[in-house]
Amino acid sequence: MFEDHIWLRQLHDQFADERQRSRFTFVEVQEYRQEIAVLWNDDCAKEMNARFLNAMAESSEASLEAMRIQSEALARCRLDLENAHEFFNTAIDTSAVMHRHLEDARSSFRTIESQLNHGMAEFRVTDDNAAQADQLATEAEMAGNRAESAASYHD
Amino acid sequence: MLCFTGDNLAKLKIGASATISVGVHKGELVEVDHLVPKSLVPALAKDFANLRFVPKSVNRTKSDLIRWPVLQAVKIFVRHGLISETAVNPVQNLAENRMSVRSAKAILPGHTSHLASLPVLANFAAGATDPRLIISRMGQLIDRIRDWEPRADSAVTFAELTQRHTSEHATRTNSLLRHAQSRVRDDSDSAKILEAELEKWFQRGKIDMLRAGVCEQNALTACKRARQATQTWKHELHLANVWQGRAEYRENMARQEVERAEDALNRAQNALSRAEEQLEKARNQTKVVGRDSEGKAIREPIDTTPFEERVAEAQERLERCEERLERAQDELGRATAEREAAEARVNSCTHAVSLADQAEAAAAASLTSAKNGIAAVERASEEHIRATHFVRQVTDSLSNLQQAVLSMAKRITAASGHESDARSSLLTCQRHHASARFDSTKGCMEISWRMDQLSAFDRHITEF
Repeated sequence: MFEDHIWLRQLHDQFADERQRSRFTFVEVQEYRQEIAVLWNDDCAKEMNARFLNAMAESSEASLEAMRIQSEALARCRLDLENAHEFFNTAIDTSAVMHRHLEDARSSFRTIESQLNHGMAEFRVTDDNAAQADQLATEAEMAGNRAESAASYHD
Repeated sequence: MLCFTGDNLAKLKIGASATISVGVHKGELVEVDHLVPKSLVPALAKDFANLRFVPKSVNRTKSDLIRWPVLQAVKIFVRHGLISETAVNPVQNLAENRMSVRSAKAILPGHTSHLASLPVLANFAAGATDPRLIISRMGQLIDRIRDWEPRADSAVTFAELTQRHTSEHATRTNSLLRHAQSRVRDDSDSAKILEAELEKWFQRGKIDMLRAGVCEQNALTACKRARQATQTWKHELHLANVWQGRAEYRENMARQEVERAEDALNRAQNALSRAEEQLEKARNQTKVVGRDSEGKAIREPIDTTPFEERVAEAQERLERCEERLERAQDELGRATAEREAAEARVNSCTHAVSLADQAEAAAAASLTSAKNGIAAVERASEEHIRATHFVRQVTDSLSNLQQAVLSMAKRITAASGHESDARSSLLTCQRHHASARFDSTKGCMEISWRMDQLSAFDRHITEF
């Protein structure tokens, strides 16, 4: 897109040059008209001016003025588009940064899940071992009580 | 005709006609003639395009008939918009029927009375300028206008091109905006899912932490109980061992007493046998107590009382030994039973201690697992803090992303407005340019015709 901006800017510059050249040529024609008006000021000249040349000058001047306004509007448009592109690039960069953080967070979630699952497995082992310890303690009690103690023997 | 001689220019300055200076019409005045008779098309009466310079004799003697050149001229004027198309057919009819101008008066609209030919170059006379100079300036003016025309066309073409490419660029940028907006939506969804997942893991961590507490408590309880069992049964085993030792000692003592009682019984039995043997021997023994008459020794049995007493004593002693042996054997039986009970106790306590040891080991393993589990849950909790930090960064980035896309949208809206203004200006520009180009083309054509007419005034006569 950067190349597009450069190219568009060059096109706008060329347009400005063309506009300028057109204006120069137009001014030359008008200056020449003024120059020859001293010599050529008969009825024919008046008629040509009235019928064609004055109208042509006015239309051309209006055309150049409209072109100037168009050129300025296009320049503003181009600047806005360049700014829009800068914001777009910022958005893309920001989105990339966001996705990196997103991936970091997901990685953390995977670690959390792994740790919690590991913890759960350990707790299951804890429960099993505790139950086994209880069972063994009970069995020890039963085994110990299977034979008479000295006290009970003498009683 | 070479009219621009010094004499003729002097005449022209005062409004007089020029005189032809060379050729067959040398010396004749130059007159202006209408190519298309003004009686046919009055609108062309004062149009320079319709004028031509001819010698006076030619003008006065020309045919009154409508000829093909007139028809051609009418068609040219129609093509350039000088007269209406309705003039073509009547002129064509006149030409085809070889009718005269006079007869055409009745058939052409706008007919006015015939005017006298205009004085040659009367228009130029007022300025008193050399017509050749004017022709030259007119030519240069046309050249400059024709230089301007492609330049103006090129500028307008560039305006259109620039407008089109800028519009396309705006369209592409708009596509990028939609892409960015779509990405914002996707990223927002991802962030929401992430936050929900963070909350889910927080809740799971909380539950697991509670479970960890319960598990640790269970493990500690199991450890305590197993330890108590171990201590109890080790103590009981000690007592059983002591008891077993005492029982074994008692049994040994009892066994020794039995042996002693048996020895004593044997001795008593031997003593009784000897006493009974001596008593029997004594009962057969006699002693000489006198002489009979015959001189024979009188014999009488000896007193056996001491022997009998000894037998009785031996029997009494034997009875006592038998009683002693019976007592010793009873004691031995009881001692053996006690020893066996003690041994059984020792065995059961040993087994109980073994089981209690296993219970303690299992409880210790349980406690270790509980601690490992708690450590894992604590690590998960620490990781959750990191995850919270990452999620916060995600949220911040999303906010920045939304802000950037919003700003982009604003810029594109502004750009679209400028593009629209530019398009409107381009339309205005195109409209004015078309008008200017129309005027320039028409103007150049008109000036060119007039310049030709003016030049023709000074050319050699080659026709008429």
